[in-house]
Amino acid sequence: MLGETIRLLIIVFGVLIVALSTAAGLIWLERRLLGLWQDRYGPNRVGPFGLLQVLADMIKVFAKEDWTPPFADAVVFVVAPAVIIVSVAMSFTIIPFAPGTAVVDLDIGVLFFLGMSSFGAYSVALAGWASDNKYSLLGGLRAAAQMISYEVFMGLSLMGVVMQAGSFNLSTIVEAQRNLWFCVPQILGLIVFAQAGVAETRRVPFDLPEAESELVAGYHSEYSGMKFGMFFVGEYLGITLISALMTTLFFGGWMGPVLPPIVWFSLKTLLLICVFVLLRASLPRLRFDQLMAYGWKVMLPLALLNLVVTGGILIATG
Amino acid sequence: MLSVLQTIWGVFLHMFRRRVTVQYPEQQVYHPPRFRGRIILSRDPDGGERCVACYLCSVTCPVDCIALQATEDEHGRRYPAFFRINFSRCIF
Repeated sequence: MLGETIRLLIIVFGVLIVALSTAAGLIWLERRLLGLWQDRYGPNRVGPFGLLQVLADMIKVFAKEDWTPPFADAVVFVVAPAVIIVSVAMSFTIIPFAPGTAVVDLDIGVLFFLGMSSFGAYSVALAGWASDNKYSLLGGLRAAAQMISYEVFMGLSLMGVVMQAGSFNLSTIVEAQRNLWFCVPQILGLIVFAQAGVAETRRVPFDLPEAESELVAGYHSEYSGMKFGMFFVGEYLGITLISALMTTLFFGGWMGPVLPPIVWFSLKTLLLICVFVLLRASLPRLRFDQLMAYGWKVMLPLALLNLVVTGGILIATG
Repeated sequence: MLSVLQTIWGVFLHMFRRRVTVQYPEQQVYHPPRFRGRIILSRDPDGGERCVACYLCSVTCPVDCIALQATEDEHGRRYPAFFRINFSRCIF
């Protein structure tokens, strides 16, 4: 009994620490990879390969003045950055990193993730509203519209996977991929989910809520110090989360030969994270109407098509 | 849609290109042999100007920003009565 409790505690804190340090490491990784793809170096001065840049950035952000503007709605202003971290960190609880290694083995895992990612939309919308700044408000509005509409088919795109595996439980979904990873039969679902995931984490090319070239910094224009840092960490946590989920749902999770399960899981997740950065390195930002039209006129029909075809095949084959 | 994928692939291939950054303090950019850097009037160990007012610098200067006037002292040594560099015109 005690051993079980300790095991659970180790998993809980292990997941939390690994997720947060991955998010911190991503700050460095992203800048180095962007450098690599833009024929330059990126941060390479602080420590070996510039690895200590993260530490330097952290010291800097902690030492900054933590300022709440007098015109802001103080309570909401402070709560908003916490919400994004909480919602993303909660989603990490359902991810099975290895057989039997998840914080909770929820039978409604996929639904829980979708719920939490909707919860995350509050953070951005509230941050934009509480700042009482027109650019922030515009960013917050865009974020709300974008996240709510992309959530619709993010959920739909996962239903194909759920139908094939016959469960919302992520461990069961991974087990169902023992013979064939879902990225093959559910290729449409993967395509839609990947793009919805990028939109959900507000990354380039769907970074309209931030859009530094038009909206200063969008919903977090007024944030400074560690409150800004939390939005930043939240974004990188989100990338890690979406990559981990894509690994779990479409790329066989911990499955793989020779190497231990946790290593396979980390490798696949890391690779997907690099794809996120590659997208940022190569694509320009969409216009707002393009974003909406693309979502509702292309992605939603694709997700529905995937749903119908998967359902039809499943019924036909019994 | 295809062009988007082409873009991503094109950027991905940049991974194998040479980086253009010059890592400055360790790695120096190439300087042409006649490069002299910022314009100065050098002095001898006693602090006197070493200029003998030969006008070569003034003639060479492409934007004509060096102005000087030669005179001689009592030993017949040439020196500039004034030596002016118009830094608002200097292109270095």
